Amino acid sequence: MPCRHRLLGAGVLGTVALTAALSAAGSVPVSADPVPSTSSTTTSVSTPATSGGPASSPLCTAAVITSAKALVQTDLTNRVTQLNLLVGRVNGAVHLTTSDQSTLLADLTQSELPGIQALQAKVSGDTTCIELLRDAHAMVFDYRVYLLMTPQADLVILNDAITYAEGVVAALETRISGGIHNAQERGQNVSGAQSAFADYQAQVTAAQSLTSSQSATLLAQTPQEYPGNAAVLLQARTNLSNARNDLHTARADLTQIVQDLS
Amino acid sequence: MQLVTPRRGVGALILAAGLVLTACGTGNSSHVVGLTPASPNSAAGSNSEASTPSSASSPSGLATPSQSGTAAAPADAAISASTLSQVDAELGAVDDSLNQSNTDLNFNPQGDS
Repeated sequence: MPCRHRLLGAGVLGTVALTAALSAAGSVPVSADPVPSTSSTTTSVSTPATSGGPASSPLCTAAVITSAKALVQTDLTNRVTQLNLLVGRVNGAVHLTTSDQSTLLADLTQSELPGIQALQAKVSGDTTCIELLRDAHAMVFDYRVYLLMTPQADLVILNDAITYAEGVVAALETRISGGIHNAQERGQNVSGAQSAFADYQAQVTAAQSLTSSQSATLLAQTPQEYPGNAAVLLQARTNLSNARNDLHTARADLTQIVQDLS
Repeated sequence: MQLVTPRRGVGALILAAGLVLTACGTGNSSHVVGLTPASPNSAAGSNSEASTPSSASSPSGLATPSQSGTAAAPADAAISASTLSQVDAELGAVDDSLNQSNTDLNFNPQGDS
């Protein structure tokens, strides 16, 4: 399996990217100017912002690198926790297909977790702001634990749960048809049941079309493509939400059918 | 071949008819069965499948309505309460999973990461 996570090059990182990375990490102050390889300027430790996360201060110096490293380490630890949570969800998803489960576990345990854990070790050894900044940037941009991996895993789990439910609902079609036929044979008025059954079949077909190949689309998304692929996640959520609604409508049709045949 | 004395008059008639046909040289066991009223206790039961109309099951596996006037199965027997419960359980699991995905996409405590 090809590596899905390319590491950043060793070139000088742009100021904007660094600012974004550390702001996203919610931790390390970063200079608006290119960060020197040796830190010596004044700075301050970031303070909590009203939005809930630590504010980003545009400075990083040797004076605060210990505190900054601690903040990055906290963010790395939180990502390890999140990734382990996702591994647990994937392992516990009863309707996840073997193939999807295998792909997700490979991404989570062979790319994401080792990558984040390698950064933990690397950050521990960082002695300069530029090293720390690069590692913090990699933590966010190379792994996208919260913005890509988390919804990706949960949407695939959702897709496979819906697909399974579609199978359960679709499997009833023959039985429903037989029930309607039998009722008709007895001279019962089955027009209402027939109408509901037609809608039932249409809803199942619509749901199936929405979930078809959805997992493959989701699993093809990589952290490096974010935020360009954010729309893919949102579209998948919309599709799966609509498929869910279709199945609930089919369930209402089923209630109508049972009532009409009783 | 059943040689036991028939208990009922109809059995005696059947046996007699079979004997007559055999004596005429035109009879065989299938003719005998064909003249025999459908009965699970027929002496020629091994050749009498065609006389049991209820043997064919419906595609759904449901019991077909009896053609002999016995009580039919309830109309909604095709979809039992347990079946509906299973559907509801699966849809409930879908709802839970959708809620999780909505949480992922609508609320990100870590900001743009």
